[in-house]
Amino acid sequence: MLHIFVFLVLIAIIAPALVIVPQSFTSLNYFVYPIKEFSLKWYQKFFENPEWITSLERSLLIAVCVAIFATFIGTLAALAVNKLNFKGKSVFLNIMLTPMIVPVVITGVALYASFAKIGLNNSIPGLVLAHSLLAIPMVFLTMSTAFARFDQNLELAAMSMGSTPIGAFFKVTVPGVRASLVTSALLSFVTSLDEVVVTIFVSGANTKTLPMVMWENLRTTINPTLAVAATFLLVLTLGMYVIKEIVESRTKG
Amino acid sequence: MSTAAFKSGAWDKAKWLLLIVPLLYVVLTMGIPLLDIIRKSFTGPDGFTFQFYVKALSERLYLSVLFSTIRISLIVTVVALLLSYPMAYLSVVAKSSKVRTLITAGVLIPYWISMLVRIFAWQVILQNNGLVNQALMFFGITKAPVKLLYTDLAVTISLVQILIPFMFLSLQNNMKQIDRNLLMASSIMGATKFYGFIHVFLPLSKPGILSGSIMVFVLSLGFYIAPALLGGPDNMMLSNLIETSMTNFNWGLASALSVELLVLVYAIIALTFRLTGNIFVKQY
Repeated sequence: MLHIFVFLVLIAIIAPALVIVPQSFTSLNYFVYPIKEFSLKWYQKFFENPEWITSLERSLLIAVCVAIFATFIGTLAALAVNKLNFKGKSVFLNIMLTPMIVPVVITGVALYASFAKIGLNNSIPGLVLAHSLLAIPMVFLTMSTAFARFDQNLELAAMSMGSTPIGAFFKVTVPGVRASLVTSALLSFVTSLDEVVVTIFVSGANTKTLPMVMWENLRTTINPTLAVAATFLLVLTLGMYVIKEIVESRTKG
Repeated sequence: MSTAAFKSGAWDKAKWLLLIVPLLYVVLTMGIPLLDIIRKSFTGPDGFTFQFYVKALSERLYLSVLFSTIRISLIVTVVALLLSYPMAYLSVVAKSSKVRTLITAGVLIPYWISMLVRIFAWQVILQNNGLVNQALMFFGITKAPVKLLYTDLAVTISLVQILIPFMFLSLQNNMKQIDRNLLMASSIMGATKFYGFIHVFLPLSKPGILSGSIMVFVLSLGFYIAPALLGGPDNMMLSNLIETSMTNFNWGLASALSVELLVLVYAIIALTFRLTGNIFVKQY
């Protein structure tokens, strides 16, 4: 009984996410099941339309920058909590987690107002800064857990053999938490790649990301090119999960 | 030499980098912009004013959006809990390790699929000639398509799907820590499996239920994309109202509504923190 219930719930949350993929291969110009005739014409339309291609490239560029930047900043914060003794640690912790708690619309409105003053709206650096803000708390949580779990005695052992504390950290701890670093980067990448809400406010005509173009289409002209874009986004995001699992299982093994 | 002293000495030199850089980043891109919004919410054309708060908390439209946001979030929380609990339970107690891993992976897979794609998918599924209506008509349950898209129901379904992983992980995290010997003890004393579950396991899983529910509730309060794409004009949530006010260049109102939502979110978190001393659960 319990097994059947759980199985059904799992189907109910996984299957609906996948219905879009077959629709990208339809020959019709609207969505209907069953698909009678398959075709690649919407893929052709996608690749012929510079708006889709440019926005896809732009999204990938921004996501890569966010993956590097947010992982760096978030890891620094996790190290601060793990390695330093300072007053107000819980205040620091709460500040680092705020971007996760504040509803994204508010973040969007607030960033738009502040970016307007310094000319960061409708710019790639502005989007990288905004997306990184949302990704940092996830990196911070992932890396704090990783550092807390890692056996500090290994670092002490390295130091007792003549390594400096910082040297021991890079030689012993960093390789030890490599899988978590990869997870952090992948999470940041996906957060940026899939971000719509803050992007609605901060991006502009010259800096539309793929989700942003999808968002505009979803509200106006829904056609199967949208399913093609969605399929790319799905494959990219799910692909990161697969990479994460592979990296984690290798580290464990 | 103690570990702490060992730790601090060398790392202290990097203090400015480790502590100040992340802090500065979040303060500059989150703290100051938020303070600016708070200032805007009190600033009218003639200087300091409460007019936007009065408006946000007295006009019927705004109040009804506030209440419907809370109502939808509550429903989402309860449904997500009812669906996640059995999954989390089985993912902890199942004898086969394969079943345990499969359940966890099954819950996490949709979490990694683009949220925008998942919401778009519900549009396709719930539309008038979508899969659900096709099925309903095929089995003769209805003759004409039922309006599912652009309703509260569509928003609720989508939010439940999006937020289940958060509930599941909170529950699972807590259930893993429950000492199963207690269950064995109760069965040795003659309790049935069901009795043991109700009187031993369920009470011990309360912290997970609480933290998961708070997290799901707070997250759904601030949702924007799902109501925007799956709800009709009558199913707006607070976030949509904020965005609409802003696109109408009503900065004062948008800011006051933002502060209202922010206060709501933080009040709930602060309350939970007081009750349990902890809210943040591991996420991955």
